[in-house]
Formats: sequence, structure tokens, C-alpha cells
Amino acid sequence: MGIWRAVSDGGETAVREPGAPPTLDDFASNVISGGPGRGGIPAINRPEFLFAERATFLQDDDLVFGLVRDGEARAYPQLVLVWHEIVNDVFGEPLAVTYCPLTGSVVAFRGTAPDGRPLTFNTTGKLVNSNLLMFDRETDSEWPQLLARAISGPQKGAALAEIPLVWSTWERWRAAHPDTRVLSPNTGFARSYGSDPYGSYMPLGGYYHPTTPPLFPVMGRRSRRFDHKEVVVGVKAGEARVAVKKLTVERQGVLPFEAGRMPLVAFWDEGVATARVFESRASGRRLRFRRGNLRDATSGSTWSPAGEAEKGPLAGQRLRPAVFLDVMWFAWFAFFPQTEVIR
Amino acid sequence: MTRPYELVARLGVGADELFAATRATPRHVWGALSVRRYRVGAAAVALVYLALYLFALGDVDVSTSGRFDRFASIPSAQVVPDWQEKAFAARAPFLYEPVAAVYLLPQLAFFVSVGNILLGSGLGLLLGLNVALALHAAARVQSCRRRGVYASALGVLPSFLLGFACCAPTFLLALGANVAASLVPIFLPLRSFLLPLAAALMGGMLVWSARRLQAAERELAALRLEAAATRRRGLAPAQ
Repeated sequence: MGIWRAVSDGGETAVREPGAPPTLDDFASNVISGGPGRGGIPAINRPEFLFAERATFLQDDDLVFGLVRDGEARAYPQLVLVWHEIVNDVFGEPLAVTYCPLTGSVVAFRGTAPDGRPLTFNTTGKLVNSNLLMFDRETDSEWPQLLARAISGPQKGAALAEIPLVWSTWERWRAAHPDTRVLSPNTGFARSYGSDPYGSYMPLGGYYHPTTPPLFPVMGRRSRRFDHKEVVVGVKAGEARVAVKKLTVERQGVLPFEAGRMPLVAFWDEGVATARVFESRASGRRLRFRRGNLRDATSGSTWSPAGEAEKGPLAGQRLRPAVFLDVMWFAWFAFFPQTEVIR
Repeated sequence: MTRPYELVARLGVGADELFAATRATPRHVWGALSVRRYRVGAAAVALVYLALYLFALGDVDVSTSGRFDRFASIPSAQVVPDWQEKAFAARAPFLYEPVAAVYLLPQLAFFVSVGNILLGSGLGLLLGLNVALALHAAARVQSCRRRGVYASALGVLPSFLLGFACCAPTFLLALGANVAASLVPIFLPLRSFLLPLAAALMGGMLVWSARRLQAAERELAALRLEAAATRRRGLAPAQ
């Protein structure tokens, strides 16, 4: 039974799910085979990128995962990533863009080995709570994607820096970022790109349908708060974990809440049809937002859904992105049963 | 004879029979393949099996929406850069990396995986030989052993289906995510064993068919001898 708890004044009401967070050893003892062997779902190690006008293999409603760094935009098509799950990329710095189809989660990582080398990853073919279990080639430690922390190997307990990507469609992403580059299907592997072994997102069906159960066993009990595969925006802030129903962000437009003591705000970006979460602080001040209003009540500045002040005293300033990702509810809850929930 | 001795003796007889049947199998298979129609039948069955096997793995890929022209010009073939290294790289137990993609139509592509083709051909060959031997036996001992030999052909069916176990999750997902969710955890640990089991069963069926054929031939020979003896007795003058 959940305990209702108001987390902030003016913020959203959250529900605390009972349950202690599992330990690293708990995760390690719940590793199961997903079927493929080690590296059987091969990471892309020499990614090629195309200009948008050359990406004729993409259709308007194809899903892409977008990342913007220093004004440069990149799109990673889901139809390519579903066959590889990891891209060892260099985007200003070495980054591993990772996607787990079984938990519907995408996130980029930055990590270094004890000797300072940047970590590069490949798939183990194993799963924890249906989630991609990666290994790094430098130390052979194993990292579940959603945990972003090594559960075994020399780096056990170490954490990766997480960089959020956003889910969008090719049409919307291209319109928002006409100069975007796109990951090419010329990956060095022969795969049936364009087909998805698990189901379909347009329209939503097969494994991805919200009510279908996970394919593989997960830890702990089932939470019936949402359907198994309802998409939530999972937010990590220090030790705090919050799951925000993505549809709620879409409906509200602006959703202030707290994670631990950190004030956060989720914006719905209609341009790319995605949710983004930011720390609601600027110039050392906490910014108070109200539901559905992009103008903060503290400074009177108006913010874009991408987190940039467009008008007002803070114009030109950017909010700091939180650590967040879209994820299927069952997986988030299995990893973080202590999570707070915003419906 | 006491029971343990009896058991040992029976085991010994069984082992002798198995050994003899195994030795006789190539001769019977060769006998079946020396008949053109069985040879053609075996080849056809092997090819159909191979095609189904590759289709089940996704190496023969059909797109009803005709998407392949989004990724390559049609027709065309693309070989992966380091194909020598990937030729026998396993993606999963008994599932190998494709080294080339051949785009034949917007609706049809073939992902060429050497390991998958060899495995599918091997299993297809075993199945084809089983069918050829069953048909050959049926023709040879039509009068007395018809049911037995067709039963041996039908006996191949479970092992034939086991050959597709490597793509069980794909099949199960096709049945629906709910069905797959309950069956995948059972199938996955077994998957490594199912394909060798299929090969062993089909090999075993081949030996069993040969043994039945041998027994039937012996029976037929005895019947012929008996008939000849009867004829001789009939022709002999009465005493």
C-alpha cells in the first residue's frame, strides 16, 4: 500500500512505493540469459552519420532518439538501435549511446576506467529485470543500463555519468533540428533494419503494448500502479528516484515536483513530442513553477520547453537538465522499488 | 538364467542389433538414393527444410510493406567489411552472423550466414534421407510393413520441429506477447540442447528405419524361401 506524501508546496503530489532498494549483489544474483551470446547483439563501434537530406531510409513517423550537445544535434534511429543496443560514439567526447528495447529505455553514458581510458561497451546477452546488461571492454565489469552502476567486475560499485536523450519522430526531430546528423544503417553488420523483432511503436503493438507482461522474470513484486509498460519518465536525483507518468507531463505541459530535496520541473516539448526534466534553479535561486505555465513565479522569466529562458530577467540562461529517461514502468519499479510516483 | 544375467544378455543383444543397424544404415540409404525419384524427393525435402529454417531465423526476410529499397538499391548485394572474422561468429547458440545481405526485391532480402546455411543444410539433409529411406522401405516391403515404415516417416516430425527451436522466441512472440512471456523463460535455457537433440533424433530415426527395413527384408526373404519350399513340395511326386 502506498503512502501518500506531499513532496513540495506548489509541487506535484507523489506516492511512495514501499520497498528497500536492492543491493548490487541482489542485482548480480538476478542476472539471466536473454538468449543471445556475449556480443551476440553487436555494439556499433564505428558509427557513420548522414545529413538529414541523405537519410532517405527514414520515414516521417520512424522513432529517433535525439541528443544535442554544444548546438550540434544527432539522431539515433530506433530501427537501427533495436539491432545493436549500443553505439560507442564520439560526440565532443567519448559517449556510449545505449537502448534497451525490452525496457524501452535510452541513455548515453560517459565512463572511465581506473587508468583513465574512456569506457566502451558491448552487450553481454544477459538481462537484469529485462534490462540490457552491458560489459565494458576495458575492465570487463558488468553494468545494467538502468542502474548505471557496475554490479560485478573490477569496477563494481562505480557509477557512469548519464546523459539523457529524448524520444521523438524523425519528422519532428528533423523540423526542430534541420542540421541534425543521423546514425547510418551502414553499421558493418548485415541486419534486417526496418523490422523490429519485438513489436511496433507505430502503431503500438506486440511486446511494446502497455498491458503485455515482460518476457523475462523481474525482481520483487509486481506494482499495479501502472500497466507493465506504461511509459514513465524516471528521474534520478542523488539517492531519490521519482517516476512521472509521461502522459501526465504531456497533459500538464509544465509539471513542478521534487526528488529528495531537489526542485525539478518537467516540460512537455510539443515540437519534438517529448518530456524533459530540469533542475528548477537558476542564478543560485530556486525557481517556482506552476502547472501548465512556462513562466516561473520567482523571476518572471518565460522558459522554452528545451529549458532556455526566452523572456524576462533570466533571458538567455539555461536550466540544468536532470538525470532522466523514458522507461517502462515494470522495469523502473523492479530496479527502484523505493521510487516515488507522480501520476 | 537369473534376472541380472538376463538383463545383461538382452542389453548385449540390443547393442549388437544397434551396431549392426548403424553399419547397415549407409547401405540402405545408398539403396534409397540409387532410385532417382527418392533422390529427387530427398533433395526437395532438404531444400524446403533449409528455406523454412532460414526463414524462421530471419535470414530469408519477407517485407509485406516492401521496405528493403529504403536501405539498398534493388537488386544489390552488400558484403560486411570483415566478413572473414564474422563467418562463424555466433550470435546465440547455433545462430551465426550474416556476412552479406542480398536485396532481391523491395519485399525480399536474404541475409547470408555461412553457419546457419550449414546447420540448416545438415538438418535438411537428415530429414531428406529419412523421407527417402521411408519411401524406399515402403516400396520394398509394401505387402507386410507398410504401416511400420510410414510410422517411421511420421516419427521424424517432432525432431523436424525441434530443429526450429533456435528461433523459438520469434515464434512465441508471433503467438502473442502474453504467450511468449510464459514460454520464453522455459524455452531459452533448453534452446542450446534442442538443436543437437533434433539432429540426434533424426539420425536415430534413420538408423531405426534402416533396422526395420532390414528386419522386413529378412522376413520377406524367409517368406519367399517358404513359398519356394511349398512349391517344391507341391511339385514332388506323392509317396
